[in-house]
Amino acid sequence: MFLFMGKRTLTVLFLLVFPLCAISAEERLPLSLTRAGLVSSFKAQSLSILSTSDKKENSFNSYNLTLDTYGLYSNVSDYPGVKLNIVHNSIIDSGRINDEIAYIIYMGAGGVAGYVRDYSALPRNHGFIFGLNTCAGALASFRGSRLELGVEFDAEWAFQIRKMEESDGRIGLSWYANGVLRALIPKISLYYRFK
Amino acid sequence: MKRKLGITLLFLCLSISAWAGITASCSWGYGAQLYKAQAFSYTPNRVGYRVSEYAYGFTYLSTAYLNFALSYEFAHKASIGLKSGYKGIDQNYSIIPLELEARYYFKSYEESSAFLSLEAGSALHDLNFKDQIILASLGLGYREHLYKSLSVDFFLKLDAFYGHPLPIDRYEGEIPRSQLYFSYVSCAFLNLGIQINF
Repeated sequence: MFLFMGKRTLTVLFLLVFPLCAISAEERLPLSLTRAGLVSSFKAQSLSILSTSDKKENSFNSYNLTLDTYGLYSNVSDYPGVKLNIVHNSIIDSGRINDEIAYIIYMGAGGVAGYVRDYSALPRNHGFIFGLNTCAGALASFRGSRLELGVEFDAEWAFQIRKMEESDGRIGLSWYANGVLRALIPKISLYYRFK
Repeated sequence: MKRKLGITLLFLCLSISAWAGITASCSWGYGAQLYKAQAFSYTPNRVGYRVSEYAYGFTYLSTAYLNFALSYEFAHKASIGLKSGYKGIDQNYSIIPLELEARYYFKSYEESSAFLSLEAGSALHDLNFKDQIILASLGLGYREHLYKSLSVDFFLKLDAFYGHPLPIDRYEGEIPRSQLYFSYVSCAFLNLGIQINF
């Protein structure tokens, strides 16, 4: 399309669009990557990124790429499930235990999507899930170290769409029971703080 | 039973860790089985047969483990500890390791420092020692000191397993020890893990 435009038209277009790009980039800047780490538990292992926004104080977003280990330890499943959780968290309490330890307590809600195996008496195959995610946790930071240690609980309120191998491959929609059944399994989080 | 044993062990670790010089820890991680050699020979129930198999070579099998340990730290740079937990070795074969771990910290265990670790021990399978398992490990890691005795270790370990497990026959399942002439299995693992010390 740009091949048919004159040089002057292109310059005008560039001048019109560039400030918009610059503004949007500037708006995105305050959302900074502050922590990256590993969230580990019996039910799943996640790579996690926490980012804060200057616009909203006392809140942060977490982005987790999760390997769901359901059925893996008991040899029911040969490969793990994959999930992406994006959660907006609000800090409900923060403070200091002493001069060396500071902590935050947070709760959050967001969304989850993925391809995982669900709990059932039958050895059910993997299926796609989508739904809501809620979590609550605490994170402690220590003087002299950029490593932070925390504990977190999360529940997933999701539906699963699955090609049911036990019923001639028909498509089935079901409640993702594991998201709630395994909500009370604690997750230990280890984060590296960038600044 | 396993859960009760685990919870009891955890509380035992936490209560003993209150003593000076003794640290309790919990470690977990991913283990990749990279090499496996096995040889076995047995007589199955089918008349006139003797089954023998020898195989070795590079493999790739994902395993996981969870361990609890009590270690005594001394001379600012060394520690020695007892470790037990639950560890996957092969498909449908897991063990409860009982190991002695010795560590040397390049700076000190009271600050962030790299360390070398050596482990050796035996293991229970189906709550008995009949498989005569021998475990050994060599590792390199880094300790990040957080607060007082609280610290986090990251490590990479090369593990070795040697034992005499019961072979699985294609038609008859697990062969009893009375029908076995010999069974040797040895594996090598590369382990990546995290340890939290209280």
